[in-house]
Amino acid sequence: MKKIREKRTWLILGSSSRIGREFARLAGKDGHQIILSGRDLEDLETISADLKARYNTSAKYYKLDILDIKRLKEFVGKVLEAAEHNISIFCTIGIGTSNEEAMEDVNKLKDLINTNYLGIAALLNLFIPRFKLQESGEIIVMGSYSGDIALKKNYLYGSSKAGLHLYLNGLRKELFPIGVSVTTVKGRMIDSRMHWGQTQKNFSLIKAKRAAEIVYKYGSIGIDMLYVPWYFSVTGTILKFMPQILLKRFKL
Amino acid sequence: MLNLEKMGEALYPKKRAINNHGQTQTALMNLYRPNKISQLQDLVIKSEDLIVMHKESGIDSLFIQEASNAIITEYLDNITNFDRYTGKIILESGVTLEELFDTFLSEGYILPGHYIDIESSIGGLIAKGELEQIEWLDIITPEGLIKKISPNKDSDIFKSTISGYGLTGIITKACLNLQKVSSSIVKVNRTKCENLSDIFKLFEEKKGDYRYAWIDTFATGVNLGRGLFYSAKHSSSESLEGKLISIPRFKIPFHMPKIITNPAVLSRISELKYKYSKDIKEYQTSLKDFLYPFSQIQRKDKLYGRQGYYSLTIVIPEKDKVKILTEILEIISSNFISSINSRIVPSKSECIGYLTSPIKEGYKVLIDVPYQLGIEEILSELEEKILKMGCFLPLINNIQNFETDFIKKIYKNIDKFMSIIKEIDPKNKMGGHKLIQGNEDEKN
Repeated sequence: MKKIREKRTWLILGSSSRIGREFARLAGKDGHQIILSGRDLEDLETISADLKARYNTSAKYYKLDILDIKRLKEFVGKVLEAAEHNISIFCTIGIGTSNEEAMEDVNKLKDLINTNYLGIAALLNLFIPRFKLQESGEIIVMGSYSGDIALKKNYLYGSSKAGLHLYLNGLRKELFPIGVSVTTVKGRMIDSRMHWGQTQKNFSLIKAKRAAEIVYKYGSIGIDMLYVPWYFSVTGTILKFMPQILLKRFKL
Repeated sequence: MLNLEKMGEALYPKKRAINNHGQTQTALMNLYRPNKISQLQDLVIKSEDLIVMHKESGIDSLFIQEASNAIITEYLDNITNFDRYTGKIILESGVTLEELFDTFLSEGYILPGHYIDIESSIGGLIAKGELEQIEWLDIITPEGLIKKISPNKDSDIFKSTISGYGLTGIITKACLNLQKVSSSIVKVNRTKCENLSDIFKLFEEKKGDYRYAWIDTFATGVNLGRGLFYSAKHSSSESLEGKLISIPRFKIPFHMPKIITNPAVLSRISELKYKYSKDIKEYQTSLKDFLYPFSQIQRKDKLYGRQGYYSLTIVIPEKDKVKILTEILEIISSNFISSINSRIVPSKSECIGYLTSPIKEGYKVLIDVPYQLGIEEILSELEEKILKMGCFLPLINNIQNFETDFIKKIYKNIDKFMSIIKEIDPKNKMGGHKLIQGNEDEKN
């Protein structure tokens, strides 16, 4: 395991999400350069001002629509130009379309796959040459617990995350020899936009701020897989290795 | 239920039972957690009845039965600007006191004043009249308009918003001035006091940067009013010597059972705290730990058990303070509503808000009263007696329990406040029209 000592340029993909915002604050507090990205420029401007006020860190921001694949190259060009240090990436991009919605409307299914898998893979691929050049850096991507286990209620979403997990496993193999770490974060029950309104009781939800602290801490030292909160690694591992002949009988 | 069309996923409601601060009342509400001010504005425009709260739990009893839609300001927590030379800060209303401490104390700035709870949001402190030193505020009126108000601009609305419990609209931004301090470490002097006269004598004698006292509210007879007096001064970097005392961070995992929260056990804890404290002790600690010793305990509400507690704030005038507080403590101990968390802090009010305390200089007594059967009646009687002694209580929580004439004696500007409420919120979205209406109707 390694520990970041030098200054980084942290690129936050999907900065408007709560966890992205909290991550940016943690990196800003440590004096790293921050580049924000997302669809809502007004919101990015507010986050940038917040980082400046809190930690005297200037944060540049660029519009990013992950579904607009053709413009990803242009976005990457802007980021590379703005980066003052070696780049590290934290990606929180993702949508949580329900099974019902995705089954009713094929366009929603397409958006789900394109956002959670295709867009992220296409974007990260464009950064590979830069990582090979700088020979250091961290890539942290928010995957999901549902990407390991097919949950009855959201297996379409889970399948998009499973694809992403496999892509990240491959990327990890490719970048490991040059000292770049790839962390897959398997989050579950994080108090995010996705879970808002889905549960009556909130005792099992982990606050986005706490989740960001864990991801920042362990992602920065290059952990490969990270369950947030940690105790889902126990159920995750059991269910992952359970034979399908048993698993299909569960109401999960 | 609000019309959710075109409002986006972030504003999807969550139906949840919400408790009041003491967890003694519950109501089922639609919760909305906007991420930005424009979303909040949309919500206000499209809603019919609303209340504002900082987090998902903890709301004031006055409003709990009235509204069905609650807006959570937790995620409106951006700091828009901070001038590192003057200390002027512009922030959104969901920023907490703790965040200000954690972010700016290292740069030598704090929010002046000593507040009850470090987890309070800035919007909440203003709405309860606890924070008065404000340059200007941005509010979203119940009609959905963003309005900038200050002591010079729309001053009537400004005076109604400070201590207005969100009835004039929702505070979105505030401009405040942080105070420069020499260090984040304070040198504390703790003195054991046998009675209230000793405590107040030390308040007058010791002119430290910060002062407060803990009182043993369980003590009776000759021990009545005994406690510990704390004063602290900022340590200069040269005088930093010896070990720093810090409070470890921990979380209360579950609601304490009644066997622990019953008065017999709590009085024993208070007694031991007093008994085993040295007569005088000097130590160094962080300013945060000194002012908010409970700040490291997460979910401290669980300390009082599942049924929770009431937070009582009494402002007592400088004149006859010992006599008044002795009477209050006698009432408290005779009714078995004492608490282990009870503090006296010096209080200064600029009396800006229409509903803020009219007592310019005095002391604030803060007592957490654990819930017990019949507590509401005991507290109502206690409040009436306290008010007759010339003290001030933020009555707004249970204002409807009192006669209108009595209310008008306590809040001299309540008529002005009510006329502003009716003007700014003609459709009664925030529920302010009912504030004293019930009593007036009964009277008519």
